Amino acid sequence: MTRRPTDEQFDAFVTDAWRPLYRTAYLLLGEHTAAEDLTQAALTKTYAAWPRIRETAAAHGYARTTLLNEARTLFRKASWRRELASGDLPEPPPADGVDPSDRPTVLAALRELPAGQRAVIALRFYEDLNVEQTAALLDCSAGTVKSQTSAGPTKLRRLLGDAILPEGALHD
Amino acid sequence: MTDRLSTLLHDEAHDLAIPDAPTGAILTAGRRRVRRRRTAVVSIAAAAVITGGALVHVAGARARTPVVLDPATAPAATDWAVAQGSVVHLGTGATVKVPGQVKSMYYTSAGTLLRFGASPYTDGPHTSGSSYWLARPDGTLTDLRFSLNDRVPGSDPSLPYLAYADKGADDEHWMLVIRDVRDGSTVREIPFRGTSTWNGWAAPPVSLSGDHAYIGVDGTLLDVRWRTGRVEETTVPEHMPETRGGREIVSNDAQGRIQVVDLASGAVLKTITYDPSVGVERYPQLSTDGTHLALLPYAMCTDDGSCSYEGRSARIIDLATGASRTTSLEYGAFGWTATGRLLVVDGASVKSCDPDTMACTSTPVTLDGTGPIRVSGNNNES
Repeated sequence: MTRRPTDEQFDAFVTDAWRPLYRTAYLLLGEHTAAEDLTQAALTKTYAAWPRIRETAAAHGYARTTLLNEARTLFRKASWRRELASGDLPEPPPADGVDPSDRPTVLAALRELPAGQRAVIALRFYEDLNVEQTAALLDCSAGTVKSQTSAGPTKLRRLLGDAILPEGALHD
Repeated sequence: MTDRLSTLLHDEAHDLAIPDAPTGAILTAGRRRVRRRRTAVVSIAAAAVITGGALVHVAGARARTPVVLDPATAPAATDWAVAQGSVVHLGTGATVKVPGQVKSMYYTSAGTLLRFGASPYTDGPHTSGSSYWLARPDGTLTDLRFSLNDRVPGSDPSLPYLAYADKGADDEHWMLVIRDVRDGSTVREIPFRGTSTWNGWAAPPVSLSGDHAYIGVDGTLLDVRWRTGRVEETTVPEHMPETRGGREIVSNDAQGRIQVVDLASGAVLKTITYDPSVGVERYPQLSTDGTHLALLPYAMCTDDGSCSYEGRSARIIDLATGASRTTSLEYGAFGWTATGRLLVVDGASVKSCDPDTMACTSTPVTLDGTGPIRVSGNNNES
């Protein structure tokens, strides 16, 4: 891939890459507009870098890496670090008398978490990054990632209920 | 454990309502990013009227304090710098160390200006934390104590100044700032107008060449006579100016043409054509003094960020005679001295070579292999 792609080739690449990148962005940021902006930024940089990418398959990897690096810039803002440091959950729904069908989906519950905790869950359980990789992206310590990896799912279970996320499912 | 949560996340993410990909917007933005690196000219027919366009604004240049501005002087022939991480080797034999990773280097007549920060990349994290220190030829360092955030400044090897744009009262008003790199003082502030939506920097990019500063605002390149404050539009459309020796590389992607233009006279010194449906196959770069044009292979980078040239053959063209020669260069391991000699780094030495004959003088350096190498005479802005 020594040359910049034709418009048609790049359109095809964007169409192919857009949805998986958008899903990751949405899980990280919990908001559609921000997810769209992040995904666009990643693909824009991928276009600019295209002549330096060896294969089309690598372009997908490049775009994903770029998206995570762009997200890291967001995470390094002070507001994100503050949320990583605290991260209390809003009041959980009442435990009794709730129709299971009214319980939130995992994505809805994820949005209820503090931003830093949500990012930890997205990176660990969706992107399958290890503790060190996640800590590097979030600009925090491995210990913080470990504690959020433990606390985040626990809080999700409180929101979702045992039927969806049984307690035993939260332990390795 | 995590299988259950992971499965739920993947299942629900799969069903997420996702808007259609804005392919057109991404393509347009991508092209803008490319133009940031590679001068893109939409129309430069005949290139005869580069300067002398519409007079935009005439303002008396403001000096904060009465100063005597330095005339241009010849840079030292041994003036080059090669950095790896925080260590910078100077062509004079001095070695300096800065508290950060060197991102880019700028030639001035007072020495080499070092921009460094937490990462070695100008678009990396903590861009706003970049520091600017002057490394004098004798190895003494001066902290200029200012930060430019994410913007592109310009310097000239024959002047002790750094030029950049500052935001004014609103998105259409800016100030060209000329700083003396010997002490960090501001010696000129020239107001100019123009929006700057075409690029992603905090201010329009600036180059400095003799008495002129060139600024890329929306739709055009402004020519600012910074000693007098006169501001003119040129017929060169928006791009990141990389003026060297008064010369600029301008390209027309639609017509498949790259030209080297003398900005003051409008003279076209060299034209290279290519098939626009294929795209340019050689990346053009001017020597620091603007006398030679290098046509470089495109770098190929893998997913892990390592880059190399596919075929290391580069062509160096003498713009005065048209003569050219082919030489082998490695990605990231060459640059230009302040006087326009080709710099080649081979791991244990830095060679300063006559670009016409490739006769070289060699200076041993110790590069420890940690971190990317920065060679002066390259533009590392991104």
